[in-house]
Amino acid sequence: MKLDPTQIAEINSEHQISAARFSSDGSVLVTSGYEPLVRCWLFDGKTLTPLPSLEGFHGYSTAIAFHPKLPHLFCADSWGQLRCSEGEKTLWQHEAAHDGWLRQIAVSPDGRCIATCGKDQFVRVWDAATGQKLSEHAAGEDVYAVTFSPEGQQLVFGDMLGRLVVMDRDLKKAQRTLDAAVLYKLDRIQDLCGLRMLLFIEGGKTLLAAGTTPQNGATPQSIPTILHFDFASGRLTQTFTHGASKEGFIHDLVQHPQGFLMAVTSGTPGSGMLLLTNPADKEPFHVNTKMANCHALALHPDGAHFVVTSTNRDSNGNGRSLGKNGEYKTNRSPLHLFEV
Amino acid sequence: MHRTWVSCAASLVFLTASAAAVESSLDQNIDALVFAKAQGHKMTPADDAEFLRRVWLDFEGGIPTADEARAFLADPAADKRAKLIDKLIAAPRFAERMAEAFNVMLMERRGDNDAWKAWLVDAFRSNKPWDAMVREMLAPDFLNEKQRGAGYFITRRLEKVGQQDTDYPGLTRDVGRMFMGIDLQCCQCHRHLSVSEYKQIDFSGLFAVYQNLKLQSADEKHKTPWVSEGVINAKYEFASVLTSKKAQTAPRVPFGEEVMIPALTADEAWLVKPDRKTKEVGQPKFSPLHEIAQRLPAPENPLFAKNIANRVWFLFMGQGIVEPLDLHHSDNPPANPALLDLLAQELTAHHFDLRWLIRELAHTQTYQRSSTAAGTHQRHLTAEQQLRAFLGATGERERLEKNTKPDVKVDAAKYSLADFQKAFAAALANPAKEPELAANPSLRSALFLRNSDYVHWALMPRPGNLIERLAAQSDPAEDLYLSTLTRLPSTEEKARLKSWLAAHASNKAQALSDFAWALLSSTEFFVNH
Amino acid sequence: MNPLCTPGDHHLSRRAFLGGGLSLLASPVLAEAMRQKDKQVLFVWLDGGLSQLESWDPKPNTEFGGPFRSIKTSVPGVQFCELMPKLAKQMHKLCVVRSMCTKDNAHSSGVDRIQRGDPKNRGVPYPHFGAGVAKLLGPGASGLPPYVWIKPGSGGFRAEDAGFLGPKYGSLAFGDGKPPENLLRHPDISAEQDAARNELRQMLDQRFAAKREKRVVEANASVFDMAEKLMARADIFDTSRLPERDRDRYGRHDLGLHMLVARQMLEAGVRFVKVTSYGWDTHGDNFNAHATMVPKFDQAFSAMLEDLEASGLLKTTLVICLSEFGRTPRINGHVGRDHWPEAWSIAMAGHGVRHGTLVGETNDKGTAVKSQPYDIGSMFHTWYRALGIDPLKTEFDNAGQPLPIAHDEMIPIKEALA
Repeated sequence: MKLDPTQIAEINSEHQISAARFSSDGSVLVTSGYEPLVRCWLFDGKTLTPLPSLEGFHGYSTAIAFHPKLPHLFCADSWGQLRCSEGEKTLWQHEAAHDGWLRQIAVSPDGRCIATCGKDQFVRVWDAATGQKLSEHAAGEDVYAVTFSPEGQQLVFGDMLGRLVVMDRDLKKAQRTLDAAVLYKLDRIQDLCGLRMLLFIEGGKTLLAAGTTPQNGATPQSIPTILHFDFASGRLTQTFTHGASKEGFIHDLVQHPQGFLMAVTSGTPGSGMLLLTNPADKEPFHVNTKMANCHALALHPDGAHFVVTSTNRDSNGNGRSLGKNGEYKTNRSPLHLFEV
Repeated sequence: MHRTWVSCAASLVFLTASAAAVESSLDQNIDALVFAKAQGHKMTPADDAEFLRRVWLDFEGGIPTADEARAFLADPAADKRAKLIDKLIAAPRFAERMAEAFNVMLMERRGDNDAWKAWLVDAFRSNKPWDAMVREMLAPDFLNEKQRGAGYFITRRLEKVGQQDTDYPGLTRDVGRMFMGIDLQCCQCHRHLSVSEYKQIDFSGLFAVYQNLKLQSADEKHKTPWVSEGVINAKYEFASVLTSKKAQTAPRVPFGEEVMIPALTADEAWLVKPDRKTKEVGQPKFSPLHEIAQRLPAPENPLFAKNIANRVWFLFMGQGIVEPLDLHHSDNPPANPALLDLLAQELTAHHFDLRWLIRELAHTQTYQRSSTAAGTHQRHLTAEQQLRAFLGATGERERLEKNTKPDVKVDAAKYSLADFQKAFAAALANPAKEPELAANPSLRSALFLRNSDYVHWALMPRPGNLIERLAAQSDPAEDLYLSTLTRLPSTEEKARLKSWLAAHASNKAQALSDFAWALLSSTEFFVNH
Repeated sequence: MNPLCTPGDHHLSRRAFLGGGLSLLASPVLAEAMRQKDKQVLFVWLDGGLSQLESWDPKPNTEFGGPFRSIKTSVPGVQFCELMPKLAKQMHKLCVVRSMCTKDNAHSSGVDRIQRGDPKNRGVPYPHFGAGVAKLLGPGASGLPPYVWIKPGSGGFRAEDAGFLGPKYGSLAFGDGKPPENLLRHPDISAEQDAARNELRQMLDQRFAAKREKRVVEANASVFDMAEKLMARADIFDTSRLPERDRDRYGRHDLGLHMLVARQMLEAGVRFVKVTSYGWDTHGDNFNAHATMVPKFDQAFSAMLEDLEASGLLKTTLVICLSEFGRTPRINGHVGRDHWPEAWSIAMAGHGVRHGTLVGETNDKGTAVKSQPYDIGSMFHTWYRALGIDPLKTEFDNAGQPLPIAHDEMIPIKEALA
């Protein structure tokens, strides 16, 4: 599979973005980031134009996920709020679905329930329509990622220590644990969790754990990594890495309908890649290093478009560097619209 | 610091460089200059015992056995001191001892490297002139089996440490410190704030050369890590962080002339072109590395000779004429400028023959003065000297040298020489990357002497060693003092030992061991006086 | 390129401090008044730059505030970041200065400047605060080394920490809080034997010194002396007999263990104990990093404060906690915060300090100090005053050159003093 996506538009933003997803009908792109807002953008095939944002969050908006069929959006923030909205209307909302940072939301394939995980070391499953809490599990560690299996009966979550725990979706019992301990390291007193995304491919045969293999704390330097696990046996079958240690983490990972993987990375300021790779390959077939510090990748349901969010190139600097008018501003995340 | 011998004073008549034209020899001239500064202080010569110990420590790196000591002290010959000097200089140990001292001085305990040490030993064994040695260090020939060890001076300093940038500034600074006696550390970013004659251009002219190097891993052709050079076709630009004024310089020895950069096109610039496919890194026609290596260690660079003269003086006299050894400038002048000039000029005239200079120094009365006189400098033994002296005194060196397979269960085979070297260095040496001007006694060294198993083991009676030998003697005082302190005991000391042994009569070996321990832990033992 | 330039090293006369153990106090009267044996100092150094926004000075739900919430503390109106729940309960013991504004945003020079008080450049390297205290207050009745440093990694004696005061006042570091090697008497040597032969050694040294300069013998005597004192108190390194409950309370991690050793040192009477935690320079993944590190610091430091109070030591011990600077409000592409000396926080407790107090404030966004900004020189003034030393009446004597003990153009922070 060889492809060469081309960028057709770059849209400015005045804020930093950490996640991006297209709605299931592809008309709207939703982003979350370093602000108590979830921003929405209208997609017309050629560009993105801002729509009214969803407000009423606190801290940082974090996880966003769309219902597979209905026009429902699930989002969360770093203070623990979980919300389900349709357009600008809030259908249901929990202020403290988690105690603090809610990291990820996974939607079951049948759309009946959602799973959330977070810093409070809990995994919780909720009724997607009503928001009623269905079950919860105390994981014992900060939980960084959660996903449903493709047939929807099982839940897998990954914690700080690199344990990928498989449970049935009512969270009654942990069935088994896959070992991704290479994604964890203790450096001095810092626990380093390299896990950022879990993704099933090949109809559930393979589970991918993506992020980085941490080497050091403080200012981390490590290489973007995707671990491939044979889900049935739990065996690690392949370790994919790409780039130098400045490249850091794979922050977002999706699978294109044609089967190849799409990932974006961000490490030291100025580094950043868009990678396209076939799952079985050791080397990606397409690498784009023109965008710095990419944190989000949104694939349009049509498979012909996707958006990568990056960060302005001069995003770092010690001391108080001021803008042209003497203002101290946040950094920004330009959105790059690609056509495949 | 007691500098009575070499304190600042009025200028003296300057003695010219030509050895043939001067009636007195160098050592006499040295003494004349030193006495003149001493302002009438009498200089008592060291007695035989003091001299014997000092000269062994300086030239052999250890101490003589009791028999060797006794023989020297009893020798009536008038020229025995001169003969001893010559004997020690001619012995194979001399090269090893000098290599050891220069290894610590030049590498400041950054690590061990066999090729580097072998190169040093070979250089001193063959009495390679100092300027040749420096040329080999500054522009190493990595393809030459005999010379590639010299490259360690550069390659070790360019090794990356963790996430830090390659330390080109550190290498630049050390070239200045080690070979010219100037520390340009602060001149990287601006003129030196306290030394007016060190300017940013002095640092930058050298820095331009070294930042152009790239450390390469050992491969089939190069058996050790080596450095490649890039192309320099323009002057190096720098600006002061204080004034923001911009300036530029070609490669340049500090305070010297800029090297002319040839005008070559990109194509012409390479002797061997770099080639990504064959992994050839390339070799430029213009090699600033070689240019500096020719110009720095040269008679035309006055600080070059002064630096090495000062350092050799420090090694044997215990105190530099300029101190610290790397801070020679007009506000830190030599304590005896005429002396330093004389040494530098004479050494230059003798083509930087270090063995010749050392021999001349050893013959001076200054070197042979007693340390009991006021104002003399006593120097702590280096970790290496302490080990060698300790093992010599306790009579354990041979056993350790022979024991290549240490076995904890067998007492006599418990340790190897390498074990002892590591332990003594860990306990007694200065930390890495620090100049060893004065090895300060430390908590670590005190605890080591007092409680470590190494020291304890060596002082247990064992066939052939000191304690075993002493235990068999009815009057061990002489042997004990000669073996440890390289001198005969006084009457009082003999009496003290006798009463000690009487007080601890139940276990003679242990009593001897404890007394020997006290001698070997005393200041008299680990100071070169 | 790592610049070699470390402004704290700009000195004219290395000779002066190489042999400068001769410095004396300004006057005999003051000397006596200051030799008060009780006062001690605990100095906690979070190396790399703790983020004030993720600790002492949170700005939740603001432009630069980050993802965390803030929580109430035991002092009404004062909030800490949610990552410090235990210290929040102890705010009534603390004095937190939120208006630090210092000059240096580089580690290599900044660490030195902060630890040495960044005084006016006098051409000599100034001593660490610990060395200054060791000098002005002396080692105390314990006779143990006056300036002790518990740190990860290697140990050893660092003469350079004493600056011009002379090597005697350098820091003695215990790597990983472990005792120095060879601390315990050799098992095959009895106490009597050890004492007897050491006495013999001392006598031999005295005979030797009679005919020669005393300096070398004295240097050796002092290290053997220090060794003996430490050997007698080897128990201060022994953490094996500490109750499990203590290990749990302080946290089963490096910082917890090192704090425990520090507590034992303070209980044994060591004058100045510095504890360092490395790894706070979070230019990348700042939030996740602080999320795991701050709670461990919270746990260990909080347990220490509790124990110092319970034993009564908090009354006579000045406690200080700081870094070389704070972290930028702006978040970089690596999800990190960079260096920020412009507006950061220092926390104190114990002797001479006004507890339950906030000093100074930053603006709503944390981008600048809103009240009177303070440089580290003011902090040194404050600390010396808290210890009962008047920086206006006390001087260091550097071989005849009188030098102020803190930046002579700055003054103490009155609101921070009890």
